Amino acid sequence: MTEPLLRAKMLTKHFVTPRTAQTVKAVNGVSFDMFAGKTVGMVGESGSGKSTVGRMVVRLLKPTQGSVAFRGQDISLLPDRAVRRLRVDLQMVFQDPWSALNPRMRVKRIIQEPLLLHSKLSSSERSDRAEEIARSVHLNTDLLTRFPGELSGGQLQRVCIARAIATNPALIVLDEPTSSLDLSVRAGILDLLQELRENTGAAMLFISHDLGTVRLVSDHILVLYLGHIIESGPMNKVFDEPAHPYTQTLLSAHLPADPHADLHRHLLDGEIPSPIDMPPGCPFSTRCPLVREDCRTALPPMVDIDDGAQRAACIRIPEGTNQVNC
Amino acid sequence: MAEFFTVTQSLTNSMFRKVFSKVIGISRRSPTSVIGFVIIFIFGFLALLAPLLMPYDPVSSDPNKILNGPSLEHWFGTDGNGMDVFSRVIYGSRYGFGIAIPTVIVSLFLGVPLGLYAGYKGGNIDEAIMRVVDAFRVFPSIILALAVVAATGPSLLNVVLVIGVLDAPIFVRVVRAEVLALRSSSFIESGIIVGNPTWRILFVHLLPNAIQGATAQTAVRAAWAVRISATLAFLGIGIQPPTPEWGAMIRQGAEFMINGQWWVGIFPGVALIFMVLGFNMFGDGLQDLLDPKRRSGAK
Repeated sequence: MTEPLLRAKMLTKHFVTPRTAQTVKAVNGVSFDMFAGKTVGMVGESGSGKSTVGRMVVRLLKPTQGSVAFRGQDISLLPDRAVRRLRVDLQMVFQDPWSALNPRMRVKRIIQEPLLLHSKLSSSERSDRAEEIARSVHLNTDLLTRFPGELSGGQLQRVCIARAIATNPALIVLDEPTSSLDLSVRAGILDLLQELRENTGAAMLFISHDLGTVRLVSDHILVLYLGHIIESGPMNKVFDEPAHPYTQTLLSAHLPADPHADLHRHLLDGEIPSPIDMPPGCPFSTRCPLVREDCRTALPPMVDIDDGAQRAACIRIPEGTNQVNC
Repeated sequence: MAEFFTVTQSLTNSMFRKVFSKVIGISRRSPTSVIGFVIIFIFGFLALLAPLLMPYDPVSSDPNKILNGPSLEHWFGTDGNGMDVFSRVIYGSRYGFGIAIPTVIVSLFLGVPLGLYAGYKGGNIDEAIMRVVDAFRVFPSIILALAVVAATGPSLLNVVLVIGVLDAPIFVRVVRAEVLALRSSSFIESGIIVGNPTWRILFVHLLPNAIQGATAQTAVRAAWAVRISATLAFLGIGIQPPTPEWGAMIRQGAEFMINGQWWVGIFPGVALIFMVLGFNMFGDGLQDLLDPKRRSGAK
């Protein structure tokens, strides 16, 4: 087995609320590996800690506990100055392209900035490279002299992606890159991400709450619930045979493309619990249709399914009684 | 060739029209700022062309013409040293600008970086900076200025530095408030992700987006600088007579006022009022124009 490019180990992030001094347990012991050229899709409801994990992976946030090893080096403890040099290889694309670009900078300068900071290219070489990158994200080069305010959402997100790939990074975190875009534009961005995935060989962490888009771009799936990974596995296996009751209900809530398909939906009651006031035992126990007494006592461990490529955290799995009747 | 001309002509025409319509728009929105601008423009004209406009040397005294009233020869009369008040009032506008502009520059250079840094870093650093700023603000600035200028000596440079430092807290506050509003937008996070060092985040990414409030304040602060420097001179601590500075002239004039020789103090006083008024009116318009929080009322 090849060495992972990035290994997140027991990542934990707790925030303390400013006034009431309560502890928000955003992320609780998340571990996963990322490999070059592979895309990991991370799904979960809002409030499940997806974005926090993404920000810890690229060290925008320091984890409360746990480590992020990038090429074997723990970056969670590095000083900011050292992390800055690693930015060549660690990039991120944000959810809202309207606020992710400096409104007072022309598009060309935005795309060139990583090159200015990390390479010794002359200004004309940078300019050529910026045009090249713009073309590779299918951005009209006429737009390079514009300000972000003059571009559409889809164009802005292309600029964000162009900036992220400018230095040929080894790893890119995409934090819901399509969820604020119109459907028609979204498809174009997804096509572009597919292309990049094939051409750049970068490892990608694709964060989304939309199962359809995750399915399109991912090799491996992580399902997050209240800051815990409750299921992980190869994309096809997780989508075809979801093991955890939460994954099953999540998938059943996803609308198929065919409007005449039989819907076996199992809708969950209530909302995701507050990460301030975590339920004891299994985090999903407050909403699980299969809940029983011993679910509420201890956190269920991840157990292997079949050959161990797929894993899930439910105590019913060894007994084979983990299927929600839809 | 003819074609070229028509093209450039229509180009300049449209540009002129654009500028012109903008000026009309501004003057309609805030006529006071236009009046203020005109006043400042006139003073600027006086200051620049002072040597051409002054009928006499402002600091040469004529012992035969002490305290003469306004006449055709000396429009504003002469002062206790026999110097021409009209020439001195005109020359005084140079001191007005010479204090106002460098003072605001000192305040900007101090206040803007501190405001950017405090707002961006937050937490304890922000607390520390803001407490120092508050400490400056709770002191009556005139007393503090008096004390410092008295201790360091009454040179023009000292007056500028002291007033500039005392006024920096305003800019710290204005800039910090804008940075706080911007800090959560993800272009700052993007700046970090791309690998910007802190100074670049502050000056390349935050500064251009957070400077409007401070720019809008500059003219009003210039008015304040003119006023407080004149106050210092009037109290005998700032610039010293016979320098033709308005505050110092008013102080001189005050001595003669009770004898009925009003012209020595009144004319520099009126000039001072107009310059402060001009800066303030211009500043008000500038704030309406640049400060997004105040823009809502005027469409």
